[in-house]
Amino acid sequence: MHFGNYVFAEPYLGWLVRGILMTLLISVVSGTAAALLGLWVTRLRLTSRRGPRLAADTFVMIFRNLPLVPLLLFVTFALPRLWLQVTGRAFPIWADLYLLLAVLSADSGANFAEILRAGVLGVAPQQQEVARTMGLSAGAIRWHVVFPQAARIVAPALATRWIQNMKNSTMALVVPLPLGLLEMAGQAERIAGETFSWVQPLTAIAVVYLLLSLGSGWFLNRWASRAQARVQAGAA
Amino acid sequence: MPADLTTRPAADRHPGRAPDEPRVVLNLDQITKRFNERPVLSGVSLTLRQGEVLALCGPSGSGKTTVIRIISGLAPFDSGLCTIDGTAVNAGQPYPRRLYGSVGVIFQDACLFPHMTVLANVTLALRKFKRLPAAQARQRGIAELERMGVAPLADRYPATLSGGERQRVAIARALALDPLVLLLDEPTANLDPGLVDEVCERILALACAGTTMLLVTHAIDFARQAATAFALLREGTCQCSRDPGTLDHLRPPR
Amino acid sequence: MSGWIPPIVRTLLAGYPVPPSMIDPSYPQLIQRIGGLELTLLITLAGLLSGFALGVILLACRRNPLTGPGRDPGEQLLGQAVRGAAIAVVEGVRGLPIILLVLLVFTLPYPITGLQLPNFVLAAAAFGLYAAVFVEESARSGLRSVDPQLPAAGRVLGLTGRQIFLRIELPLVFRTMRPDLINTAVTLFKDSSTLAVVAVPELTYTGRQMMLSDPAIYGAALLAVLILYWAPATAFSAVAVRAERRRTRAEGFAVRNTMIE
Repeated sequence: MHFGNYVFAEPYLGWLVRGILMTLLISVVSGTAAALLGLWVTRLRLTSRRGPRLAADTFVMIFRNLPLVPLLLFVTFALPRLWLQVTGRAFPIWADLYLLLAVLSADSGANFAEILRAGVLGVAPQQQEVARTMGLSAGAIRWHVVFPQAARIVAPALATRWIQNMKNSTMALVVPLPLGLLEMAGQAERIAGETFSWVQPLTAIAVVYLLLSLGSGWFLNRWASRAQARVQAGAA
Repeated sequence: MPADLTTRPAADRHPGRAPDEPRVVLNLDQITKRFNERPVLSGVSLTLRQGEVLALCGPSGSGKTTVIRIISGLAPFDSGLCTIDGTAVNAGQPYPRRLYGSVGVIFQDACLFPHMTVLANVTLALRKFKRLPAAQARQRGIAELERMGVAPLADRYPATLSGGERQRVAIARALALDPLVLLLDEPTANLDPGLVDEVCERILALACAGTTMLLVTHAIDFARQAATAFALLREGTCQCSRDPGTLDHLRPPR
Repeated sequence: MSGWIPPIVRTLLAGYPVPPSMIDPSYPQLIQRIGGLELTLLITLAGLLSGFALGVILLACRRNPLTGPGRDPGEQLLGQAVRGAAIAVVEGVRGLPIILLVLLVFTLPYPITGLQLPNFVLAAAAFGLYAAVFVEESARSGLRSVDPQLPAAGRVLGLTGRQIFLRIELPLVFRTMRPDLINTAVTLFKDSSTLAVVAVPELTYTGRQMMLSDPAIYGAALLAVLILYWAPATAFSAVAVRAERRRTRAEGFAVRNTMIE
């Protein structure tokens, strides 16, 4: 078996680099959106008002147990056609990329919400009470007292989920994206399509993924343990 | 401790003032509360005037913490009337919003926010509740920390502080909001014996300076020193008077 | 309009029938005839079983059975190498997205070894590896929670390291691993959908083929696919949560779960 290094020659190398950038873009955008979504959904899940709480609980319950591949297929292929059939109007031409980002954000957002909920339950109720006696509004208590502590308590789980979200970017394979927007796995498929061999492009992106996930894992876990240390001593 | 505080009885601390002059800051009138059919308070009445320190003592489980939670709006009560600086808190109705922030509470464990520095702990409510600009809040915060003798700790995190330091920061945090009354729930109960003095000193200093306080404590001697009025909470009711002898049931004077 | 719903579900459950001409006589015909949800469940099961076995083996390798006094340096080096290999496998598989793992397992063997393995075997291998990592991590944290006095007692009684591991520690760890195992099973079940990328005729691929054959009506097929994944996953997870709750209820958890409004 001859490992000719064609993958490092142009134009394939350029494609791979573009793919790496695209992967990072998808990861960061969907991860940030998921984090904000997770915060908001967690806030809704803990309200005493029944309607929003039920809606948020349902959202989490649905998206936590939906696999991404069929969901993406549904959203990008079937949903526009179903919509057309039911309402007679064409689905808005949103770039498939937006749909992909939305689905990834929703999936990770639901998982973030579940993790944060556990964190919030771990914050001592006295913290909220003290803040109340200090005149802070409910929103200020949530944002300045509860959520910062909750996030620190579950910091390792949040870090794991962030990395999982980055790995989920490969689900873009099932979405028909224009060639310029393909992320790493998509570019590998493209190269394999031209050279009839998966081996080199696949190994190359596997190495990149390992570096990315192990590297960011190391960084994130350092942050996570530092954040936890401050809160772990208890609300004294 | 300063000699004059240990030898002079508390009632002599404000010699020129007749006891009836200051206005009533806090008044509880026949407060009752049950927890799941078990009566905890069955008619608690007490009055606290401005500048006074009321020591609330009683056996464990007698409901002292419940009284504090009721006054600060953290727990509802079943009947009776609670009046704070003229604002009525009615049984069964939500605690008036404008009273949040007017009653300072110090819990047994200082309950500092662990993810913020000491200074940030003190200035949080100044910025978010009193809406002070950051520089002013910082100034005020440092002043309060100095008053409690913990100014050098301003940039440290609560987890690195001793118990006594944490309690002093908690008191500074509460005082920064200029509360009408300061409620202290057994502030030294969780502290190692060596750290109790530094907190008691500061509380005594506050008492001398005229801070209105409701002090729940097991330390009867300290109560006798610090307080101008005394209340004994027993079997759900409370006897209130200016006579330190009220506490003799719990511990005879030395 | 509702007339076409049962056929969709029936096909999703069983997959598309394989034409007799395409059946490979060299290995079990039954597996070749299965598709759809049945194949998904079969792959999940195969992945779980092989993953469990492989995970325990990985854990054993990681614990380095060849250390201790009385071993010559060659054996010690071998022990370290085995341990390093186990760690490399675990971290390597953990760091990769599942789609990439599937692609690697499906595309690498042939160019490297010339062996053309049947799809089912490759799928079982890929998910066995995937599950093994979950099992190993869960077992490792479970092992840490075992009371150290128990293996110490075993040593006092004269048991060898291997006997202690197999007879004392593993059975205890299996009990603590139960909720994690259920989570792993649900994850495997959902992530088996990535096999659609390599044209394995499981549930998602079947649904996709149906949709492509007639987009107008069979768009609903994918909706059915989603439900067929979501319902078992949710039901199974709910059972696990309830079992977990029953175990921790004894600890008297009293948690406030609303915020100040």
